[in-house]
Amino acid sequence: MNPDILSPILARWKSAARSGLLPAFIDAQAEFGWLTRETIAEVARGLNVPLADAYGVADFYAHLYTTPMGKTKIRVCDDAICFLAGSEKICAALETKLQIRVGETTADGAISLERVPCLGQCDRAPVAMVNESVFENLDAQNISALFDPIEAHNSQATVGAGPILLKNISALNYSTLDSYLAIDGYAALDKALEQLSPAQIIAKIKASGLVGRGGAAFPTGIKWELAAKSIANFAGASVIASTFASLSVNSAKQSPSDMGIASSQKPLLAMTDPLDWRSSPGYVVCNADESETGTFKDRVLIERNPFAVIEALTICAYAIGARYGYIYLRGEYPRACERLQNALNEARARNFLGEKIRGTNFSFEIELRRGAGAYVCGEETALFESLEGKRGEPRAKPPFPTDHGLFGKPTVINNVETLANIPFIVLNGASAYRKFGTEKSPGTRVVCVSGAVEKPGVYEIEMGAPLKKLLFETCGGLRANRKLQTILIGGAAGVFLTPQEIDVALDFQSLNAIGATFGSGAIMVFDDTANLWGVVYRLARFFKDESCGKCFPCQLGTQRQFEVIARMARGQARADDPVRLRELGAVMRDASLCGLGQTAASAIISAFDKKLV
Amino acid sequence: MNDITLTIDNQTLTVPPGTTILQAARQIKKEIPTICYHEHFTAPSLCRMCVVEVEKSRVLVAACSRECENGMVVKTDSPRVQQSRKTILEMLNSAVDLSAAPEIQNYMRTYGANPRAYADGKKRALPLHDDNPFYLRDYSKCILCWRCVQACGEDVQWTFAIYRGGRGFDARIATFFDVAIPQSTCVYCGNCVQACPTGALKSKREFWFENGRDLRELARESRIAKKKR
Ligand SMILES: Cc1cc2nc3c(=O)[nH]c(=O)nc-3n(C[C@H](O)[C@H](O)[C@H](O)COP(=O)(O)O)c2cc1C
Ligand code: SF4
Repeated sequence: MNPDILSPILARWKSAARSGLLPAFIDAQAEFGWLTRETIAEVARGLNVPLADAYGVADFYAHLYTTPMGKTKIRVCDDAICFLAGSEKICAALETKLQIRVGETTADGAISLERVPCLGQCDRAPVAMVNESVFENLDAQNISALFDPIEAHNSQATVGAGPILLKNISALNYSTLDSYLAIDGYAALDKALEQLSPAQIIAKIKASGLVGRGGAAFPTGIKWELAAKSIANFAGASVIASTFASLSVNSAKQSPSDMGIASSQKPLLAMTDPLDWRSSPGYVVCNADESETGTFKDRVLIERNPFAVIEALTICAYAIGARYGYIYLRGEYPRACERLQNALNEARARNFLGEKIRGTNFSFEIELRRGAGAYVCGEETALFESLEGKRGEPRAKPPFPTDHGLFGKPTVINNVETLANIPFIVLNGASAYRKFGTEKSPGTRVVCVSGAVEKPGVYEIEMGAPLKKLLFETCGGLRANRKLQTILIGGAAGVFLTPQEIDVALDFQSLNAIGATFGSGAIMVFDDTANLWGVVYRLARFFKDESCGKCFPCQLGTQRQFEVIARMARGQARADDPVRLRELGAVMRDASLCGLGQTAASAIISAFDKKLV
Repeated sequence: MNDITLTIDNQTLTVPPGTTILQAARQIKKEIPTICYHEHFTAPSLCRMCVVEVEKSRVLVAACSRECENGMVVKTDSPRVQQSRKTILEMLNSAVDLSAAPEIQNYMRTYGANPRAYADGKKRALPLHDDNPFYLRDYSKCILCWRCVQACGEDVQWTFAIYRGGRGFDARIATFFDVAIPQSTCVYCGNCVQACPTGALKSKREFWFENGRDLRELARESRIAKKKR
């Protein structure tokens, strides 16, 4: 190990203390290929983390390696959609070419081959990644494409035009702020800073009826309001009041008392405090960890318009009184990472981010963080743990993040798509927003369709649009005129729908009525040739591999569920297996600590209920 | 803050704010089963044995850590609750050696858990670590309740010699790179051994004693061994 390589990495993350553990590991691994004992010890000492803790963290994340690995890592997706598109043949071809098995490293120690869960590129399956490059539409006959760097990054997802989030997507150049400004970008932030009080912004979001798009469908305005109140009440002081008092831009503001905050309270923070994570009284976090099987819309939203989430986070921070925010981006999204980093730099350079934004007294900073291979880190409290430099183990709720979130402070965490709606609502108002969608499910939904349709891709549909229309008009119907066997809606944590159920309207209430959910917005389409046992097997394997192992029902249940399903898929079911599956499903749903375990049996049970397997 | 009134198993009671459901139930002599919970440690609420049914809650609720709220209606022993506890015990028993955990075995009987359920499922059969003069670590008896990690770390000793490694079914308790205890930061305070509910951590003396070894004879043997070295 070369200390000259490690010292700039440690210097970079030193001020983040333990919270810098994961990024320091990621940076170190990029240099060395894997994390040796000396590297982990050095990083742990540099960031003041106990050795055993540091090792336990490195050991948790699938993409951090504590045993020798090749510097070139080939990761082949073998989840539902890629499996049906031939991922097993890709793996076999690679095994032959490299003369190793999946999970092994070549004799010269240069290349490692891994099977990985869904890479979020399902519209162009089968897919593999070689280090930071994505290769789509792979062909087992032509596997050498994977070793040609020019082949990577060559295709884009099909993205349909939509009314709000995907409205100007084709006119926008993701790499320049000017292009974003030309489509009314940052008009919402300017309006917020010049004309609206935090309370007025929150009122607008509440009135819009926007609910979270990350899966739980919690009302966004209420979440912001709860966080704003706890920040204001934190330690009996009022940061919001101080933000108010010092924001001198416009007189149209309401007094802090609309938020139930006495304006006479002494500010907790002087505005001269450094703009760093430690001194912020609360946080805003963008959840871009998108790892749900069959989901890739957040990636596309960021890749096409990285500025929107940055603007939305800034508005959110202003509304709740936070000064620091994070974007937690899935590790497997290198292109989104590059574009976000560029957009953050642009925004900072033009004073849309940083100290005294747009000449006001409002200061706010965003840090981009990457995951390292853990689906569970999309769960909000596991994500906080991960940001704090710990293992991604979810916390018991309550207390909720709006009271006790990141670093124990009030935090708003929102999904990428949720945030992307914010500028429109702030700029055009709640009633303009409510013109789209239904009375109870206002707005639009970005869905990602993959599998057996002619035009898989990302589409923004109005809430309430019929599923059938999406499949047979927007997506061009089934490929080769095959017959529909089933649809998996909501990702691995979702449910299967039968061909008889596709008349359902795509809104929260209609889906609820048939026992389904939007979940992550994933819609995976399977035709009559699809091997559903192969799909169900992979769902069970996914949850077993991704369980964090904290709580007994999921740690043990996902393993036992996988064993039963594996047996049944081989045609060796035992008489009591169906009963066992239901028992396992019940205990995971009822008693698991977080949403991962609670939904680990949902799709599988629905496949049995609907007699699909 | 005002006291909180709630109903537990059809009995109405009033408790001070901050009382957990587990504590409130004890006041009316309802024992809720627990495994990972320890009075003096932060409740990690991970074993989920203490789950109870709370009206209007979609899922069951961990009584050890959930605080009582006004108007809460709690059932501590409904069929749904019993079913969850039974399956948790069956899964645990099929994965871990519970022979030195009489309390859990008692629960197995109480909840009618079948000791043969999932009998051929994967086990956490791990090697016994006999690497230091004071205690043994038999991780095939480890249920991953986290108590030892808590005792070693923030809840008692602030030594941080052990932490959690791996994940999912293969999660485990580990030192830094699984080094032997003498190479770790362990100070032999014994708090982890005290906290272990399943005999996975055991003092060597106790182990020898249980196995009928004569301690004086052992001491003599080790003196001879030392001389030879
Ligand atoms: C296992 C698991 C994984 C999750 N993954 C994500 C994710 O990748 N992205 C996301 O936005 N929300 C995810 N969630 C939901 C988050 O916990 C949280 O509800 C969401 O980020 C809140 O944002 P919203 O209100 O805007 O939806 C996940 C939840 C669970 C239980
Ligand atoms: S449900 Fe699964 S992922 Fe969630 S805390 Fe429990 S073991 Fe971890």
